[in-house]
Amino acid sequence: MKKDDDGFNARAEELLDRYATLVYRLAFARTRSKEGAEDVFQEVFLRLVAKRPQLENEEHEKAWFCRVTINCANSYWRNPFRRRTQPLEDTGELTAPPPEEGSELDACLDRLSPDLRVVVHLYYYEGYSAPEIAGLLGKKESAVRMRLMRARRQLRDFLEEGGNPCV
Amino acid sequence: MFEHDYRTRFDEIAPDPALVEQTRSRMRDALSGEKAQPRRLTRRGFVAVAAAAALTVTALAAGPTIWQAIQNDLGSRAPYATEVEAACEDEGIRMEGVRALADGRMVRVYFTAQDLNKNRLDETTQIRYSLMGTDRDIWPYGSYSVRQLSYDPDSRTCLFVLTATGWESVPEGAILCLDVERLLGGYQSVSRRISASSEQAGITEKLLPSTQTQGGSTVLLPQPELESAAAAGGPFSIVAAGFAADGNLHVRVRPAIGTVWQNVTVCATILNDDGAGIGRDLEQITPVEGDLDYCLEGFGPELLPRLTQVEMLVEYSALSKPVEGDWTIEIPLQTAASEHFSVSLALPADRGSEGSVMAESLELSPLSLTLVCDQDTMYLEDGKTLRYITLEKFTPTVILKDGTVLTPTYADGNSWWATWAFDQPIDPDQVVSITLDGQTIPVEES
Repeated sequence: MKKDDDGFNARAEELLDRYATLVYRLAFARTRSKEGAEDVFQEVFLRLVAKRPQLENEEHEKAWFCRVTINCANSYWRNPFRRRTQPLEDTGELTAPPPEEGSELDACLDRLSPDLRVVVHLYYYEGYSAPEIAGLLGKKESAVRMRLMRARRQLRDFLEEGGNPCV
Repeated sequence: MFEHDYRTRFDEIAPDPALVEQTRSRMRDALSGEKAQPRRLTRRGFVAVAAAAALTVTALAAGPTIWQAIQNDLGSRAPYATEVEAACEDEGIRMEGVRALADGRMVRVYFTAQDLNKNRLDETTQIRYSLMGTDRDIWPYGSYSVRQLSYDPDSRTCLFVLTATGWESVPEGAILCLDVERLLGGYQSVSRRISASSEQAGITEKLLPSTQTQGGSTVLLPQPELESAAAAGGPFSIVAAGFAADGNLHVRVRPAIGTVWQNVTVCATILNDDGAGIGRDLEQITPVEGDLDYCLEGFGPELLPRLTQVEMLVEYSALSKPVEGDWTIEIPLQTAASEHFSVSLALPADRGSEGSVMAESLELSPLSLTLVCDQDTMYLEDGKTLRYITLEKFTPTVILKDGTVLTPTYADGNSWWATWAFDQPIDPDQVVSITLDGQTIPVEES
């Protein structure tokens, strides 16, 4: 390892430890696939060492990782080769549906669009407010609220189909 | 209930430790193999210096004209820029596209915002915008940003430049649609943070001196040590933080004097069961004697071990409230012609990844050089595992007929493409060969 004059190398590994779970969960929320989440995960942290962002505080760090994870996940889907391979992965999952807890919720989330899933995750899991999500996504706050409303409506419809109106 | 189910579900999801360690190894490889990257800092520094220089000149010599500022920013690329005729008005502000510079991969658009009747803009104007292609199905831009170049107080005009980098070749005749929704002059931001674990200034279980407002709300009294620090510090301060007599977490904020607009957020970072920090806003706000008391109801001293910090984030302006409106300008792009030629070049994957990735084409314009790889070769034989490659490290050299050797600067890229920009525009017809990773591609024979 080359001389770490500015301490960035050690800091990068600290950031990996601190934000690995956040990045992976958000990537999974967006891609709904283990392979996708793993690809995005690595891309995010390689981008960290490539870009060497100046992250001023914990809030800034978290926002940076959320934003970059979303950007990488967006790029992931824009890659036509990945788009082409996704149906095969989906098929693989459908051939052997695991009878696990939460599968109904998973089925509901699978049916949401990726954009809605991101907003749901940032709001319900990461605890961001609508204005904060708007800032992260570069969208209007009203657009975020609209997505949340659409997501809630769709999730309610989906879950009611399964007899569990829980939203 | 949904929130609970969702949290429970995602609490179970975590990266495989092997993935984390593999990533750590790849990060170490990247850090040990790469040169330090002053590029971005340099570019940012250049931007800052350019903006500062423009502002200095403005102060000393009644300001450069908008046109001059654009020429300065374009430098030797100016001959490739085209004039733009696109304008709109809303809320007394005129937005106007002025000039554009584009090749297949890089776009730069200069536009102005002029306050027609008031003084709501200045050299620190913040802009909220989105960028679209008029063909909504195609989004060729990998990254984009807007920065302010200058402000001319005589005409009350801000000059901005939008830069976008394409992840696909921008089609000839493409139209860029810039949608601005908010402008805020005099923009400032400040943040203050109190760590819960700090022994000296941290938050303890002890209930702090409190009082009740006429409306019956419990609020913190200012803490002398924080108040004296606030008096010596800048605008917006935390003058008390901790648990009030009502047993809830409170933060008392002292706003700056003379602000026209402010947006204050006070957030507590609280650990959940798996140790991840979740931000929760203190949403109950009580004005008290010119201060603002923020409260997180239901968060008492017994939960203190889960609290890592409280933070105040403030955006404010002493000049103007945000001007919200609908400004949309459509900018037709006349792209500088690019030459596309096929190559077949094996580029070694990063250390830790097997094999090589095949470069399949190069795009050469007077402004930039782009390398595009065959995406199918980016996967291992299982078709799923990504073969990592950092294209940025393959800095190309471009040889001209007169023997000049050019080394363009990395501009942007992703896993399967990378673009380098020339410091000075070139004549693609003068290019003899391009060398990448020690392999020379003769351009004329391609």
